[in-house]
Amino acid sequence: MRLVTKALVLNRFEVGESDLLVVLLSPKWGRFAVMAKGARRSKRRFVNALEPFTVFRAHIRGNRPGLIPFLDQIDPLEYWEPLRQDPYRFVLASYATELTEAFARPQVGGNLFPLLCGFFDLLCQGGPPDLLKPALEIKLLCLSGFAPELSRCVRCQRPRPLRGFSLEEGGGVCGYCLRESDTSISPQVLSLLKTLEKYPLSKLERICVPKDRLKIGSSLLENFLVRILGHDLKSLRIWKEIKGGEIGEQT
Amino acid sequence: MSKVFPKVLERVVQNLARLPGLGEKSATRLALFLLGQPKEETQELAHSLLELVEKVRLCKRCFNFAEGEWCRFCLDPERNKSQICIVEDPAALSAIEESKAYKGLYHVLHGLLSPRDGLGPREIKIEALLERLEREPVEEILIALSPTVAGEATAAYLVECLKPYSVKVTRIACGIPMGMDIRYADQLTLKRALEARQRL
Repeated sequence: MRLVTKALVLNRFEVGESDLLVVLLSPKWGRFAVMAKGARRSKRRFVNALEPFTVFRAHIRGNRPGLIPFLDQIDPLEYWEPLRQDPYRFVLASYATELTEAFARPQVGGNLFPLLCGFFDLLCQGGPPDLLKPALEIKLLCLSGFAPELSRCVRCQRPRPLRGFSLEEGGGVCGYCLRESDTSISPQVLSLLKTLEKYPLSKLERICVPKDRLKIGSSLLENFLVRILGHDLKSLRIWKEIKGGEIGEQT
Repeated sequence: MSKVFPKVLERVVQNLARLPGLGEKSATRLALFLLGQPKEETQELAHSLLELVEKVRLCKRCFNFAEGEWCRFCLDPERNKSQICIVEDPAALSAIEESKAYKGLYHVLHGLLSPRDGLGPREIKIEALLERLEREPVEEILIALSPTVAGEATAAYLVECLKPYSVKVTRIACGIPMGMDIRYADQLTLKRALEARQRL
């Protein structure tokens, strides 16, 4: 059986001498894996396109239960070329890809495809990376069913003013329920998180946020993500390194 | 694995099976082939493997493989010392050397920026390159990295790092391979080829 779908690469693993196991994300089927036979040697079928940051039409063969389907051919549709030419945005886009792969469960997550594509679009158009990153993180959390509770206390369930954030329970905590292990947050940071959750990515550049507030909100989200995933994200460490001043071009 | 083999042979099979692309069946075939070879040839193979791990190290200057402190290119007085070609690994260096079109020195990064694999600027030999530029009379840096996503991002990062230095930074051209029909070239390659067109 042959199937055709739009997709982009989330990850690739070398198999044997010449094959690739490719993890794809498609708007139709979410995250799924295909075997690209001879992909490391082929100079025609997969040249250029079986890499990150490219959308292509994937021609897939065979969908027997329990067997990985084969990727027969790909037709490149769109390249996010600026992501290849700017190391700062390349690392951030790699982080977005790693995060999306972690949150998209097998055969689920088709709704993450337009989010990731929109994120790449805005990165290429020069969107503000420091705002785009936490916005993507919180939107991914919401689409995957891990949305943090930001409107009422996650412990007493009352709509009281929130003073902290519980990484364990995944939401804001009021002053009465606040414990030592919770992270203290200001109402401004809370408001920022709500805004990032609500606003479409394309309208983020209209928001003006003080750097320190953005840093706190971003750090809180990173800790929350790592807590949910249960492991560190390799590309997040590289992003922090590269953002730490080794390259001049930063927004 | 079959338990009919002596333990020594089983150990060889297990060790061979750890090599990339070899499964247990292929490893058994190779081990049995080695047993069937004249003793001297198998001993020569064993000696060469021992020498490989004992003698081969990274060149102190360019990080290419070397038998001593310096590799053959760094020791060669005929090489143009004002040019440094940056390559991903010794295999890429070998490919460029085989073209016989480059006569300068090299610098081997031993990797490309690959955040998904935890490879950032600190994990590849970029700092060592910048230290070389401080003490060597380099006039040109030639970036010869593959035009993959990681290769291009690494090249862009290198360009940023090299900005404070007064060296000419160039990059190998990217376009249609020799002998290829232009109709089968993908849009990105064609775009790059058109952008890098030359006056004749």
